[in-house]
Amino acid sequence: MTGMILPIGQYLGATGDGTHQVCRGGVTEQLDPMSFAAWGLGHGPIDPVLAAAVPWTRQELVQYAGLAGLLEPAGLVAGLVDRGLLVETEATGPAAVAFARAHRAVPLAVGLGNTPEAPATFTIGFFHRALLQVDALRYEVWSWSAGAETLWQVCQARASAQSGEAGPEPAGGRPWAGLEPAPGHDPTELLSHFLTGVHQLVSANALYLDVVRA
Amino acid sequence: MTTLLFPVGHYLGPHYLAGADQPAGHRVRVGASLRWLGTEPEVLAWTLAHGPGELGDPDQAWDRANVLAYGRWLAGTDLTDAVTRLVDRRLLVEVDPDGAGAAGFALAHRLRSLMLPLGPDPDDPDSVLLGTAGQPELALSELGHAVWRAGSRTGTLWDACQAVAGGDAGQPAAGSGGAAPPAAGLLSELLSELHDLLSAGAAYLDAAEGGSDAGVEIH
Repeated sequence: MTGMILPIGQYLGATGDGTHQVCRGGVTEQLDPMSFAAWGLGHGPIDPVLAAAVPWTRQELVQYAGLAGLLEPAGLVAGLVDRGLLVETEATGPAAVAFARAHRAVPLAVGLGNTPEAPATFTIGFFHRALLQVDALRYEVWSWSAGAETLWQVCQARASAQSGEAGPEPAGGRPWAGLEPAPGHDPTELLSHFLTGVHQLVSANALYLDVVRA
Repeated sequence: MTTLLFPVGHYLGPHYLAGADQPAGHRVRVGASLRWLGTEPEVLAWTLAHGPGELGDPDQAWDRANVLAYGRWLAGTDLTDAVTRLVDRRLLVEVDPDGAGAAGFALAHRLRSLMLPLGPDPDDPDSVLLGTAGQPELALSELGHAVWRAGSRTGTLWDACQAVAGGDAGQPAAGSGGAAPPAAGLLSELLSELHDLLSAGAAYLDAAEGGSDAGVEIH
């Protein structure tokens, strides 16, 4: 597979002996320092410009980890993939939908909304610190992700709501009225758009991805 | 014990329609519903309900009277009507940590964790720093950290208390779901410390799953 590679789980911190904890699907996984470093690099380049521009594949991750000084980076990455702490997927097609059905996105920050000067650009972060800016569609998916069981459910709900299938128009209009038009009403297109930019969100720690519990 | 005032929902910021110089409102997600703070007093009241933060005494019990007083002090605004409206709309909730309603509040709401754990506080090894990458924002007590961890993995505040009481803040306690009460006093202690988490932006309260408002937009 030549698609993207993504980190799975919520970081819970380090223990006294240098082990790092990541909660995946409700189970706390223990990562040694080298594995943790590889998992951290799985979030994508720290540089937001790079994160937006470089497709973060397994090959890129291994190469980047090697440059960062990790020994046997391919083995580290393979071990994390085997444990489900890194997952390879595609941004489009059946693999993307399968990923979205099996995973959820969980925000780690609040939304700071848009501005009159740039109504199509939305900021995510904290009141005293902006983390990143995204377009309206990615902001909507991010905004709703904590309230849904899966990423796919968010895309389906967002797509159907836009086409007016979610119920009567509420007073005051729908929240996305007046924003940039969506690429389409198909949830697969929305999912693809979101996944294409998801490394920006995970590398900024604006969200984490997790598996859906059985 | 004072009846405390808490905000409910994940803040999504002001929302400007194209061409408008004033926001249509500020959006808040609660469960699967979109809610609006439509006036400046509502935004101020909901924001102040998070706690005094660095503006005031962190040990101050944060109640309706304090929110009204800070509204007058900070903005010269009477927030009485705004607070009443938001309580009616369940975007603000009042609860006495030691009262009969505390358990119902804990069953109807959940804590969703934000930020990252950054390791022990160098100034206090018993505390844990939370923040963004490389930027500590607050130090959590042992209880606060346990609750923060449990919040992401439990469906209600009640279950979070059980997980913490069970000594495993990483996993829901076996048999969770409201059958057994949390350890004596733990819920009260948690609620008394909750404004520290909320005011720092390290967590927010959400409606527990299964609310009657799922999937709709409510003004």
